Amino acid sequence: MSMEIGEFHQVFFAECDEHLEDMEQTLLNTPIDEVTPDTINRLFRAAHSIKGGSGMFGFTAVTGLTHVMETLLDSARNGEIVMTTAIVDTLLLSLDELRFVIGKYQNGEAVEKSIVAENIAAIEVYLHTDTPNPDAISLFEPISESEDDDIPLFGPLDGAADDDMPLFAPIDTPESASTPEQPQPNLESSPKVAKKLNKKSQSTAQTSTIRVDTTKIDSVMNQLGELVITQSVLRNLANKTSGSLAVEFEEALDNLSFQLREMQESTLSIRMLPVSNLFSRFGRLVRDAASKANKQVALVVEGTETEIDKTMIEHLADPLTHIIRNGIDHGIESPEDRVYKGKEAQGTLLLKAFQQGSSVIIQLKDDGAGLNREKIIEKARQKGMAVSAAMPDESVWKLIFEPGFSTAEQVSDLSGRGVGMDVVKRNVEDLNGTIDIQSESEKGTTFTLILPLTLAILDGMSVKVGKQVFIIPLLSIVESFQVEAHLVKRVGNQPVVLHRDHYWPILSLAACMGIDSQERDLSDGIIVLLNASTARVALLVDDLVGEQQIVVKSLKKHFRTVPNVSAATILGDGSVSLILDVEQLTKQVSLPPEILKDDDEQSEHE
Amino acid sequence: MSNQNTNEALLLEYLTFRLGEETYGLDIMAVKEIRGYEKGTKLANVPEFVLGVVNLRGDIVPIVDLRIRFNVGKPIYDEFTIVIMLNINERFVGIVVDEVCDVIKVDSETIKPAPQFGAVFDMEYLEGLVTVEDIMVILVNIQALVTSDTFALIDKNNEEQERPQ
Repeated sequence: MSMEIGEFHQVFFAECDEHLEDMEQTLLNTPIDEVTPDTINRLFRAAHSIKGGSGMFGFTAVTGLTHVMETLLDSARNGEIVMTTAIVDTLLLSLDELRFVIGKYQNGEAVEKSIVAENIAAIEVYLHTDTPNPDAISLFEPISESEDDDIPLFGPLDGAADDDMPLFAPIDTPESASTPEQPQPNLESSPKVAKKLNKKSQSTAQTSTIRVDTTKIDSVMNQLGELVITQSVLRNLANKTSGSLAVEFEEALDNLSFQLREMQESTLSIRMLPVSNLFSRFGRLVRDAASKANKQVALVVEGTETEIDKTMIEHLADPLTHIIRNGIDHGIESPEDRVYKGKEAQGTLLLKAFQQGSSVIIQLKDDGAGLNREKIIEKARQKGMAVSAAMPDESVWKLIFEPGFSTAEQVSDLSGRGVGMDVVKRNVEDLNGTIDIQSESEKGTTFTLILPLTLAILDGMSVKVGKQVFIIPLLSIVESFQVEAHLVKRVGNQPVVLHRDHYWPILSLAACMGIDSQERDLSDGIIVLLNASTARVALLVDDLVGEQQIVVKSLKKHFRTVPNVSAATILGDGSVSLILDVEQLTKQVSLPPEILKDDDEQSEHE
Repeated sequence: MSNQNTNEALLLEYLTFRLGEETYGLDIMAVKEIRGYEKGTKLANVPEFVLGVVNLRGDIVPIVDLRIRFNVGKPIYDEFTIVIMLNINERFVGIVVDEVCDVIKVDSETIKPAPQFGAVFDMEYLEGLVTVEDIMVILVNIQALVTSDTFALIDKNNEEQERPQ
């Protein structure tokens, strides 16, 4: 685990570097009389990002300092404080200090929070004065957390009350050297001065990674896509040649396509990061959340080497955080309850990732009480949802994804506000993923997220309607089968097909996409059974063309959203093919769910 | 147009094209390239004048037929049909017109007010009128025209949609 933390730390440090650089440039390049709310917002955001990350890793010194910086910038943003050159100077000094402190953390050194006390005090001077008169400052002395009795104007001795202080005396300002009250710490820490001065050169030499704008990777992908198309043009040419030349041509082309595939894979791998980048931050979360809820929870992490697209990692943090908090808050019982039930006092959360085909599965399993079926149904009734006591477990569990749904009796600090699981579900669906719940009373609950490896590439099934080829994401296809005329019925105007004991509403892709495919008999077509979050629909197409990996291209970049289409791709021959938005497509069919699950009717046909 | 103080007149370059009976000119800086027409991928539930989308070196670009949109000329597609690829604020769009004619240099001082009638476009999209070699050229503000609601090429409240993400 520690290694993964280390990796994640590196990301944080790299980000800090960027944010600090950004703040410094902003501060340096903006004349004081040209400071706009935008400038301050920019600074605020950078400080906030550093604060957020440092808080997660427990880098309290960084959090402490960025917190007051944030407060200062917030006041400036609200117009309570006017930015002055003095404030800018103080902020710049704070940036230097942040760099230094972050460098210490980066080298794995222990850092006391008091190390930044001086800078905090310097900033708080501005926060607590209503008048710019510096003499007034002594009136506002009890400002830092380390209850000093005596704060000089730029008191470097701020944290001196702290026991650890001699080791970390902030000696970087000339004032501190000339402060008579504390000669001892200064002497003791003089070797530290040298060390500190060396720090700058040390910390810059440590990164072995570069941060690359993802658009650069995208443009490489684009160019590769172009190469693939050129290659298929060449292949068409090759097919026109004959004799021994044709054979050589063919061989050379086979080589080319092999190399292209390899290149495509390695380009994609640039975007991939191990999920350890994601998982490593949850150790802290579990610890904090558990102690807040007075529970004992151990987090077990498996499969951290599984790789997933960087953008996915960014978008998965929030939903996973939420599920984990929920698991601790609602799933795992209090130690007393657990012992009473004959379980170990400490609950276990298993967070596991693995690859399955072209999907990444992330599972979160707790050994808690499991979802409470009765409670969920009761709550759903209160909310006026259509439920029945006979609903299968699977459908009951899905209710917790409804907006505003929460079974917690008390809204806690951690979760239970009812703004959660629906957002989690939507987040996962935005990533073209699905989320499933299994739960067994007193044994625990398992959340399973099935996600594509990347958003840039999609495993798709190409289907044909008329002359046009469409792509259906493979993840949303349950199966496909040939229609048999006698299994097609009608419910009102809606044709349905009986398959595996269920009636599925039939949706004609040709009709949806405005294509006049020849009025053919239903039974000539092929049904692709689609699984969307709310319903399953039998999509009627003319033909299946084949499975392939496709590069996802945005339609919105140069155009607008088109109904039933999520994006587009470029096929091997250079033509554009549309990727179907399965969620949207299935919403076009509205059929009362009872009809689809009518067991009586189904037995009639058997 | 009002810079009488400058001795050198401002020379503007326009690409001229024919649409119906009239000749129009559009700012050449908005033109990305000119290419032959290829049948794009048809889209459903879009206006008729949106012919479809094509692959422009990895970008998915919509093609609109101004002839259909403004109900002039004959929408014929053959080997002579030309698409003007525009780059408008980094959004690409291809437009199909009756004929692409020439690139003209226009002295900004010679631009006269746009005609009140005769053009297929609304007055608000016209920049003015010039006469080049006895041909009257109506200058079109192509940027305003293509991004206008009449084309619906851009999601409405596009910005609001993208902000929360």
